[in-house]
Amino acid sequence: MNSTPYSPDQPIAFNHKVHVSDYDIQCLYCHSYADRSPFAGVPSVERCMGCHLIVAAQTEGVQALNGYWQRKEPIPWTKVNVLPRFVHFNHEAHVRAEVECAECHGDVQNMSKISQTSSLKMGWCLDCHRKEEASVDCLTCHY
Amino acid sequence: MIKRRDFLKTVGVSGSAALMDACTLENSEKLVPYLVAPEDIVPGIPVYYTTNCRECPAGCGMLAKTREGRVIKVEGNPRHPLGEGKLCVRGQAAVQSLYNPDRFTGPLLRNEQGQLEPIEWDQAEEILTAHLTQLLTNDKSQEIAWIGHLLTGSMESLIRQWLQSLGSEHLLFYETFQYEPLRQASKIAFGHFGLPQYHLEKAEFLISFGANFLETWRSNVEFTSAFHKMRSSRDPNTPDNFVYLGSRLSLTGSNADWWIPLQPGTEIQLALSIAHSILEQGLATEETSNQAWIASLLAPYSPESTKELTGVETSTVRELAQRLCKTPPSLALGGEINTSGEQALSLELAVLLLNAMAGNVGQTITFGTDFALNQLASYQEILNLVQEMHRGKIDTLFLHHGDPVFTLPTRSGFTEALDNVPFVVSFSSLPDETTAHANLILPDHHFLESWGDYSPRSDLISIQQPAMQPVFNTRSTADVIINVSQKIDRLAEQFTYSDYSEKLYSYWESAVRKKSNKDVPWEEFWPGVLTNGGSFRETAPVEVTLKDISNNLQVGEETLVGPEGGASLILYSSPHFFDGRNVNNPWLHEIPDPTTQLVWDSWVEMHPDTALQLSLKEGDVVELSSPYGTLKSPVHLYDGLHPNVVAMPLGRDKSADLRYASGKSENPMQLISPEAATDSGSVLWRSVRVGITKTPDHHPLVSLQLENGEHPEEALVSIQPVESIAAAQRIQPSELKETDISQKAHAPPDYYPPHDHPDHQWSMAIDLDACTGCNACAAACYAENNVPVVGKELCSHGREMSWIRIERHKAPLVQATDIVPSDGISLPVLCQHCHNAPCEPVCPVFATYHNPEGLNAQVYARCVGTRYCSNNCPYKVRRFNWHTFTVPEPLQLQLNPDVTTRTAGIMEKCTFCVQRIQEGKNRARRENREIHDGDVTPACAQTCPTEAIVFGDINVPDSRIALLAEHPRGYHILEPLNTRPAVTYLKKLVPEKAFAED
Repeated sequence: MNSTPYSPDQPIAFNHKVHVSDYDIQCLYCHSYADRSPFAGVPSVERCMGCHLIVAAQTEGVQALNGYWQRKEPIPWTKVNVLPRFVHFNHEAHVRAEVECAECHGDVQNMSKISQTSSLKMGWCLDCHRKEEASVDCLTCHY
Repeated sequence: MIKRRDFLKTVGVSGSAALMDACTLENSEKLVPYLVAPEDIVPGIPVYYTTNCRECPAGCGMLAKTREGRVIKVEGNPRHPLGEGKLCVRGQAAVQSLYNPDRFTGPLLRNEQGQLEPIEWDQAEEILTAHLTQLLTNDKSQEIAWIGHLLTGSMESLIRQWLQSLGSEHLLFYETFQYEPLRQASKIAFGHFGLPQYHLEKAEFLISFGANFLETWRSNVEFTSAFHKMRSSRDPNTPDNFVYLGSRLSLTGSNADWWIPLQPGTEIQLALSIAHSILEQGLATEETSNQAWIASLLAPYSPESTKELTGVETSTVRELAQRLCKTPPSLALGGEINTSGEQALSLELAVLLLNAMAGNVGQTITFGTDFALNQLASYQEILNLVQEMHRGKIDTLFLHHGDPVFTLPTRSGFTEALDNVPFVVSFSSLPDETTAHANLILPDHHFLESWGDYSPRSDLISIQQPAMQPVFNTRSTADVIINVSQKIDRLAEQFTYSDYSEKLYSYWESAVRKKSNKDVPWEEFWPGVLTNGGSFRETAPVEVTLKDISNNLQVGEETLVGPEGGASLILYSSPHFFDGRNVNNPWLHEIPDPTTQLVWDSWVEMHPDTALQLSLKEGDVVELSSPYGTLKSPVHLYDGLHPNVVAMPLGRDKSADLRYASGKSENPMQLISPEAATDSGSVLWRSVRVGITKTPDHHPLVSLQLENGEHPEEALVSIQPVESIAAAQRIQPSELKETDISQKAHAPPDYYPPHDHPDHQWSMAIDLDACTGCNACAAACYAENNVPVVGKELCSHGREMSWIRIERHKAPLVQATDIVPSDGISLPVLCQHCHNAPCEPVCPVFATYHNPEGLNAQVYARCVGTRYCSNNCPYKVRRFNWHTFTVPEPLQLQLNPDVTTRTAGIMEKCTFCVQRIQEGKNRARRENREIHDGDVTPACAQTCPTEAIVFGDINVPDSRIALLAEHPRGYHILEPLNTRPAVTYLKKLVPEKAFAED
């Protein structure tokens, strides 16, 4: 892993710290599929606007958000935690096994700008799978 | 001047910059959220919609599996009585009709230069509105006609209402296979116009006069499943309970125990001689045995006197008579297009007579359920309309699905008549031979995109739900009609629906709920309909009595026109393409045709002896000429034909601009008579003899059947003489394995210790006695596993990618006697997931290995493509990606997101649908329980209409699979190689005695 974590610029300077630490919003409020689907999901623009129609409506970021909403455009976030296409990762299985989000995604609640904190390489996955006695069979993820 | 050191620095920096760019590029995958998240969609979780299959008029219940708003797979609807959760090969391939890359992308208008030009929907509807308004003003609206595929329910009601208010009386429902003779025969014999309902599952003995009920005849999934019920409960003492008569051994025929190869045109004499023999042996029912008219009708047809014509021995006829009557009920099924000549109606009457005499009426054949097919116009009625069109009496013709230019006899004059109609509107969604003559094309949605309903018979009506947004800029025909009507003064009042769904709801409220479920309020009724896929009820059969049919029975020598000494031509509907409607679905071309094992192309089948006389080899191009037309076609040699016959499949190719139809093979409908049968009004499917002339051309046909060179056939397919079943059932499996199977794996211990399977051990059993070889599993596998299509050229190099293939094994058919064992075995071959897998030790990179749950794993990301594994696989089930195969847009929308698509250089093969195993485990985890037997069903097993394929965890002691793995009929293919497969095959049961042996 590079010494500086991967942290691409995003179309809106979204601040996880403000949302999670300052306002105590649960991960699942926005990433609402994480406990019931392989995909955690990113919130729909409508969900963002649910709060931001009122909250902090004058800030630069929210104005940008409002711009997307008015133009009926989804926000083209840049993916930070990228897995190759031949890996079938399942969020639901990990949430059910009580793996904390932070174990893979890092200390998101204190990140003003989101960055990748784990290598997401296979060895890194297996390290945990071995420790937790989870399956280390190839077909668990590769099919 | 740049110093050398600086130069290197610059290069170094820009090099790493390039590298960084590449990294960024790889990482800058976008994560695009919904603008507004749809409530009923969780990304990654499939949503299923009940709907109904409209690939053919059978109308099986269907479930459309959608992911993120697009259909990725279709399966049968287990709650629906038609299909009971199963689909056929054509149903499975329906998703390729939906995403077909050649579909019309929007409405088209033919311009003055005769070219089709894209227009907007508003404009298209305006053109139609203006045209109809003008017709109404000029009082010429009776010159409107509609020819369309079979409709029932709300759509039929809408169209009838519309045409009626326009003042048109020409509404013709037309399907290529219309069953006119059978519909008429029921009326004559029992006073009930229309198709009888058959109950194959109750029959103890079955005889088919050419009816290919496992392929395309009427309702093939329903009949296949019923056939399996009949076969699986057969008495071990008379196990050969299915006899097929006909000039061509079809897929259905090869599932029979016995085949009687008949000279075409003599079926009726044979049927009557069996009836004669029933009477003579005193086997007829009481009501039929003392009817004077029956005795006098049958008098001339003693088995002795028909023997010369039919070639069937008297002992065989007597035995058939006995089998039909001795263990009631039995069932005789009437003809199909391959037996449908000028005497088709009489043949159906004779078959109904047989059923009446054997006491089957009210048992295996009942009346009282009204079939949608009864509404079809006869071919004669189509010809009448063609006359009107010729005479300029039709101004506007609506063509709603179907391709009459292609599927009607070419010489019927339909094409020329069509050009005589000033305004032809087609609702077809795919270019075909008919749309080439249309002035305005208003492409309809696919059935998976639109609301609808369909009632194939009076005891059930299915709902058709839109499972996704339309792929192209198409519009539902019903909505077009509603929109147009609202703009025409005279019609506006009657068509006040906001759209078709409103019409549909009001129809279901008034015509379905109030009639059959009036105690259930709408709020409960409608969700039930959507959940179950329709509304189903029981209908009571009505009592019928046999009438005197003697005056309607025309029996004589069948007249065929054509050159003296020519061969009789029979046409058959292709099990994959029906009448050619799905000719542009690539899976159906690449999955080998069940009887011939040929892929792509079209052909003419000829008996090897006939070919020898004409010095023809496989693939030689011949010219066939009848009095009505001439065409060229490559020859395929097939010994399952009467030597005096040549046979051609319908619908394997079209000349329209379709990328998966080559347009090289000509339409066999050119060769047959344009006349309609005088009594039933049917097409004379069998009406000509053809002259055969060799041409200098050769067109190689590609067969995917492996030669058995290396492996003796008996190591692959094993049969069990039926006389030993009763005994086998009493023997302990262990004893049987010791004594009864000659080819065995060697006894343990092996050099390596056996694998441990502590949690699960996934295994499969395939019952060869149940498998009919219908190919539904193969199509399901293509759909589920993103299996690429490679095309004819690569197929000819043995580079097809199918993960499951159905091999055909049969002894050469020697037609030396009147009745021959049909001996066909269909052997589905897929990765055997061997416990001693020969592929595993030869992989240098450990890409293939035995996993702890008994699967032979293939890790794509590890594979480096040495192909050693495939070379070492004795079953030849591994497939190598010689290229990166892609599909034209929008076919990629069908790809299963749960399965990695593979690229060039990678080996792949059956995974036992590991994604479904993972899904099953996830579901169990979600429900806080252990995984159960039946939680995981691979795509092949899911769709098998005979449940020949069973999958499960052999570690669960009483699971179906655990029992089947120890079945007395169980064996493994190529067992002596000691591969110890996880797939157990159950031997096919075959009769040991001759048919008419005393």
